[in-house]
Amino acid sequence: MKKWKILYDVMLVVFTAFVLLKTFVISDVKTAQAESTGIYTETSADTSSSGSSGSSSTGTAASGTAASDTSSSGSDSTAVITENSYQDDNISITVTEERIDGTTVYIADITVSSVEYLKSAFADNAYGRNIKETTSQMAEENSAILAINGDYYGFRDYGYVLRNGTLYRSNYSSKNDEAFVIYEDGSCETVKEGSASASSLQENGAVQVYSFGPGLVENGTISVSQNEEVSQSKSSNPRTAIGMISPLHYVFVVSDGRTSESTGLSLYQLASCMQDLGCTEAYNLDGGGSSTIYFNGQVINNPTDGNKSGEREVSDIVYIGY
Amino acid sequence: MILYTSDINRKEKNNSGSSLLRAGIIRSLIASAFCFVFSTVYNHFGHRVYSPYMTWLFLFPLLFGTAVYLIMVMTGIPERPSAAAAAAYSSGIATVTIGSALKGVFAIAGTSSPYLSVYWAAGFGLMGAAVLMQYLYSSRRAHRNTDPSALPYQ
Repeated sequence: MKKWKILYDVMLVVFTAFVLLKTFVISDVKTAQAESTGIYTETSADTSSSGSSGSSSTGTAASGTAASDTSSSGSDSTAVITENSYQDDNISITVTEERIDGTTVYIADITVSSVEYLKSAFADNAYGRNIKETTSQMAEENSAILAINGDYYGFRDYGYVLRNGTLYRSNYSSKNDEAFVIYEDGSCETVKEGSASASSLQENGAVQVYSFGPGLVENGTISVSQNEEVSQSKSSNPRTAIGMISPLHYVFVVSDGRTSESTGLSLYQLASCMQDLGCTEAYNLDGGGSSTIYFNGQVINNPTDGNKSGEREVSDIVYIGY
Repeated sequence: MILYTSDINRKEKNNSGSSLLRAGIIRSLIASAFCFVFSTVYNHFGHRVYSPYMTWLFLFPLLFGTAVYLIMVMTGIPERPSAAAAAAYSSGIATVTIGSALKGVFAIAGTSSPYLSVYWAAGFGLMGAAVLMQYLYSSRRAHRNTDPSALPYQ
């Protein structure tokens, strides 16, 4: 009997080690469920070779020296890059830094001529679980002008994943889980995953779907309560959010947090910030140690998980670029 | 008073059964205390993100272990615990406790795993099997004690 007990205990330990490795470490590349048929099929082939590569600029909004530079963009236009802005024929970005409730908040105001300049990228250019890179690595690999961390889809097995027109995942854990949808015409909305299937969203012209949440602003109204938090979190945290002021006019917002200099925002504070910026739709992306904003070749916020500083590796980014 | 070998064996068996339960009580109390310390430390570094599976982790060994063993000692049921059933039962408690700890860790990290269901199935399965094993063991003992042709403790 004792032998069987020991054998079972050994099996329990080995299985537990396997579960932990499978959840946190072992990479698992998966394939798309439905390929893109939309606007991204034309541009995806040359995303790495073209691009405006704002990384040649030395200026950042947060700490860099003022810089004014021009570089060739992927659309043969001439980009004007300053310390806190980027502008060419198709893309206009202005980054500002504000203090809100003891928290440093980075706000990127973005206008694009087409939604095809608002893109997503996966770590190692592959979809799957535990495939990770830092936001800045992914941004550089994709010649992003501006990038924020995405929804870290690869840390979960559920939630819609539709990127650059391609559908990768169409399941959800709860029908009330909220996804953020960006359509081909540049409009956005927050939908409950139980009320609209991922394939129907794709058929209706969705080009990006993120699954983290919750929705912060819907139809211009704050949609989170004062006490609402992600999962069981009840504290102020670093945050990342995406919002739409009007079709093709977006804002990316990242807040620092978990430090003595910057406490972080609650979801309600973040929602208020997005509403104050004029967002009619806004959505909370992965936060905490993942919250990172990259602009013109540099990370401009102070990413930290509260214990150590520096970027966390994540599954995906949302970026502006060619 | 004449003591037969079978009486001595019976007393020894009763003592060993009782010590089996007492050892179970002590082991599950230690496990419960360890779980309490583990979840407290884990929650301390969790940036105020909590999971009930982590917070109440210590209840698994406390309720399924200590409380159940105490009831068994106080009621004297079963009269003679089976070592195999006790081993299966304690393995079941360990399995669901580890499963709960993992679910808590994953929930706090913001992820999940389909493999967690294995812990619940195996853990509660073992506990159920232990109850069945104990029932069969007690039935067999009762049958031997009432059957004069059956030799005791063979």
